[in-house]
Amino acid sequence: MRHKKVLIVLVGVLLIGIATGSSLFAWTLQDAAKPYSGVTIKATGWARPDVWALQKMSPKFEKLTGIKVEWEIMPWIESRPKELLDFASKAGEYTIVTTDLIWLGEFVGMGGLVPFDKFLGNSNLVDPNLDLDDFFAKNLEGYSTWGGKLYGLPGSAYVHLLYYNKEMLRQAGYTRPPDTWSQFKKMAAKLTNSPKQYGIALQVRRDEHMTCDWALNLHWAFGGQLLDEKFYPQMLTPEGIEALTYLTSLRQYGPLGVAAFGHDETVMALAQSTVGMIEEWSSFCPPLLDPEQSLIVDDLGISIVPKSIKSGKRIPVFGGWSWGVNAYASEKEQDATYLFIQWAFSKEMAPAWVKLGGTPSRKFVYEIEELKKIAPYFDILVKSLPLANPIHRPRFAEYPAISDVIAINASDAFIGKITPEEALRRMNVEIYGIMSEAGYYTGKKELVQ
Amino acid sequence: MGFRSGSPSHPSRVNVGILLLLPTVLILLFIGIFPLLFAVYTSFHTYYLNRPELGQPFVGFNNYLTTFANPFFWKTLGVTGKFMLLTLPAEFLLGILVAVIMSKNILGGQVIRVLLITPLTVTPVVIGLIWRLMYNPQFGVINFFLGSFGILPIDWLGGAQVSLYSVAIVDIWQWMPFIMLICLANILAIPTEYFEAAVIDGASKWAIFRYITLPFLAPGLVAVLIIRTADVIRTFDMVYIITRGGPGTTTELVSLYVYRLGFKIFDLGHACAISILLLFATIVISQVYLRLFYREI
Repeated sequence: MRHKKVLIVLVGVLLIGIATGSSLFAWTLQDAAKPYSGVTIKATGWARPDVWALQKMSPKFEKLTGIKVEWEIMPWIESRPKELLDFASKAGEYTIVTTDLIWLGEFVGMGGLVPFDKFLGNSNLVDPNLDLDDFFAKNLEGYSTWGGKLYGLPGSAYVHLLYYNKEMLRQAGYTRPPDTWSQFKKMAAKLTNSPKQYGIALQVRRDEHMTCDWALNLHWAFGGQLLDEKFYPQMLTPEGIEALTYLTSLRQYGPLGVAAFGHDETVMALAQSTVGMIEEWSSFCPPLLDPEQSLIVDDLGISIVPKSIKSGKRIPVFGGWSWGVNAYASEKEQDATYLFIQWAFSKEMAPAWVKLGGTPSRKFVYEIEELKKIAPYFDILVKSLPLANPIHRPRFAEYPAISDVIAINASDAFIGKITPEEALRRMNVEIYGIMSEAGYYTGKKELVQ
Repeated sequence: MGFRSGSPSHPSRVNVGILLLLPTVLILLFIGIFPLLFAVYTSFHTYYLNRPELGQPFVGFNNYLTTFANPFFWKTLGVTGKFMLLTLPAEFLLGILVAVIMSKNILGGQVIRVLLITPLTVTPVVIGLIWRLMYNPQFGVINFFLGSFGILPIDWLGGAQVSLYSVAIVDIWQWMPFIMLICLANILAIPTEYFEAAVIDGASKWAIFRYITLPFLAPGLVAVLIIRTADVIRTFDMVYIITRGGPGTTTELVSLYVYRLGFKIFDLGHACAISILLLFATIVISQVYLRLFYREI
């Protein structure tokens, strides 16, 4: 009889639990964060619209959890040296590690990132609605996975889109954006009316801008590849020569000073109606749609990048970044940092991030009609992402050195100091040296990119 | 006790002296000598900060030999030499000229002096940002100003032929006042009797400058020449902000190359080897200056 009463009470408690559902047993951020209240974490990010948006969101997290989030926003170019020095000194100052996809292998190799198994296996920390499957698989793999292990959660979805000024094109007699690279050049020529108006702006400053955004972009688009299957450089090829020659020929249709342009100058050139077309990351769309920064809000056209005539392929440039957890931070800081990353890139916060200027790697937001109205690039981004080349740039530790070689020689060719053939020959020789020294040709190092 | 009764060679007085000096010596060792020794040590090793799997094997003089065999090193050295030839003579000529003018009682001299010194007080990073904006071909004030005289816009930072001159102009703008200040102080310290006697003897203005002013300026100018030469060799911030060494390799000074090796490729072995070579080069050039130009008055 007594046992029966106990059983009834237990069943009752269970039923009440099921009825009230979440409130009794469910995971909440507040509960998960209780042990970490008062902990300070430090976020790094690049000075770009998507990161400023996250910074604007973070006070809400602080209010919910009592975890303090400090920010250090810096130019892209300064981020890697700071993070690497942090790893080398084992300081653990930047508890959140901003990892461009090209730095992933290097950061993991330095032991700077905590494998996410550690957090995902902890039911106190993991939000049951995390839903890893909702991230674009390409981004989850490309931005955050190395050697089969997850080292972060994907941040902004970066893919190159073609942006153009519809009115400028219409005045030049075009009703549609260029379909091929050949048309792109012809239209650029027709749009150019120096010094008032130019066809295109190119982000070809002598650093990663040149390497990623244009040199390798066209190299792949024209049918080339950076490395073959044994990791031998493949820059000096007929496709490579055609691509770099094409790139140097575009300079005449760009504004004065285009050889020193970075992302900001390129985006502003379109926003100020100085040029008719640019090819830029998806994350740079928000400022083009902001009337305070852009004169072409109503005339902004967005399309998928042009295709190669030979191959008929469109190969948008693939980029992006993830947030990982610094392995040299304390255990408490690591857990608190994980909670912040999980919250910032959660399904719950993704719409808010979009509204503030973010481009999440979450699939579901790209289907929300309300968001499509404020972010007209959504459909193009979703179409472009599957076409993007995941090995556009390798993710191993030697890539920054390779990027440097490509940037310097392509830039010298762009300003006419050397011929495209000479530039590509130098690239091949120097990249071979880098790969050889790293041990890729002797089997010392695994052929993983 | 030692202070009161000891002679200079008294042991306890010597000990106190050593104790008083010790903190300074230790700090100097820590911030000056130790990093230098570590750089020398690193220059004899392969040391990639971002590739711990390679370890730090001793490679003897290999980093130095591969640096000498690297055409890019010589190229950046050539760019640095050209930059030096563009900046130092202009800074010295203008500095001396302005100092001579400022030594006269000209109207508003005090105000002009303060204005001239202003560039010295601004950090190179801010100077780089300001000039980068001013050099902007579309929106920059320089092309706007030239345009009002009908001059076509100039591609200050993107043109292969122009970019090194553009950064040299900024360097001259910033450092000419420093030389002017040193020269002005020296000119004002020259006894006026020399000038009066020269005028009575009927000496021309050039003769007065050549035989009175210049000899008094010489010792100070040699010191400034040594300082500025070392400065130019290590010029980094301003050029990095304005051009990042580009376009192409047109403004790639050797200091930018060292930075790229050290903080982009993280090849600290080569970066340290080049730094040590530059240190030696600066010492040698200083000695050459002293032997060639230094004269007692």
